[in-house]
Amino acid sequence: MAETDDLGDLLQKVARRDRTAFALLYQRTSAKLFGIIVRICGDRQRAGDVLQEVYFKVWNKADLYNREAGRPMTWLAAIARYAAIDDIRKTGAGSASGGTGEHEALDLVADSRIGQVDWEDRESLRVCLDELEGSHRSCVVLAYCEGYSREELAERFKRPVATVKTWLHRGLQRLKECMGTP
Amino acid sequence: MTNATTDPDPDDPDMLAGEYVLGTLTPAERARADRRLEVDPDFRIAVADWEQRLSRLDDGAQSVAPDPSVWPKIDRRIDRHSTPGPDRPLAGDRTADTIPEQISDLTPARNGGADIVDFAARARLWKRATFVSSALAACLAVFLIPGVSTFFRGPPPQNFIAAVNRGGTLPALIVSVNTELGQVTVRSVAAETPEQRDLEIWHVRPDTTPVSLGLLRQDVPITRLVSRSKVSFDAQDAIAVSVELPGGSTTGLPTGPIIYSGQLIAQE
Repeated sequence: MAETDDLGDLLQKVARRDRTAFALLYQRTSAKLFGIIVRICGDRQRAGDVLQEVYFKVWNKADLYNREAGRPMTWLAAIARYAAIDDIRKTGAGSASGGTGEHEALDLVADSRIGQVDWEDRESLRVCLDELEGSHRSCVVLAYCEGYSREELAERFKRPVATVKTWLHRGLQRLKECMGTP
Repeated sequence: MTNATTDPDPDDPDMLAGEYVLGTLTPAERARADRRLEVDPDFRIAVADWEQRLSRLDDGAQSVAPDPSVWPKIDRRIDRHSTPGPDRPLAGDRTADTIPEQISDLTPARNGGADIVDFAARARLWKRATFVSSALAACLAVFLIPGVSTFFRGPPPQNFIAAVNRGGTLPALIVSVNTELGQVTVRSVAAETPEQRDLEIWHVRPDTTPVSLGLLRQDVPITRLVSRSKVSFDAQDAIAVSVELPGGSTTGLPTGPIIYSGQLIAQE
């Protein structure tokens, strides 16, 4: 019975062209994916178009998902994120170009009381993000969460693009040293 | 604070992989990275690792209900474009116990009629540098290349098998490697060769370029290839199949889309 399937089961069924499973998958995951896309695209209308693209891709590529590649939601979220970034790069729009306001980097890592739990994972990222210099952390988080490009980061921080690229690398490097390899 | 001695090399492939996941590469850099993902398993792993490390940042996104008009559009689009089966192969089955002993043990995943496989369209898809194809390839890398310790207990085994898969439960090819004899045997089950093309079989190893093992024979179900190179087969390796012009690639590397892939599993 599809209602009791977990996301991985649903993806397997979608791979076999099960429309009911696909509808259920959408029901259960679309709000989260839409949230990820909106955070990057800014514009809800465009975000809706991107969401359509994402689920069309999911329909066509569900056979590529394998549990050993990670959690289903992570796989879906990656598709959504990449599609959103693709879109804002094409159009030049997005949160970064129109968005205002500072986000404390750690606010963007969810409150640990909410959502699915893998305590060590989340704590590890929080702790390690904390270890980064502020500018490095902000660059990494703004890029990942809101789709900032190097140019947009450079504008925001009033630095040359080359500097921002170095910041990104230092931030990534520090994260890797802190978190290790999955 | 400058860190001349500890700054990461800007050309470090791992930094490339990290920026790939962040989305901060330039279009040219990303196009190069997309191509690299197709042929470089280490790079795929690096990207997959960064995806895993950073994925918790997704949790911070507030869920937002999409407009109710979105779902019907998706539904209708699928109605218009539905193909009978998965239209993108490329998933290796890593668990040894799902590899059948006999070809006759396999049952078709789909009933009757040929799958409509549009290779020209697929080749175009591959040429378009989109995040999604690469990200999925990167996701696959996590299970394509397992830790060596899960395989070796004692001296390295001499025989390997790979179920080269299109996804789902029906492998397209079953590849056996006998390293002692240098023999590679390929059993074709539901492999599809497009017209006027050959399927070429590659030995994919970490840290280096793929090595061609030869072409899949289309007239018989079993192709026997003798490995011409002295290259050894290890459990981190994979077998890939690309679509080439008749006669195969002349460049020494896949020139066409890689349509199947599977990982070598040691047989004790």
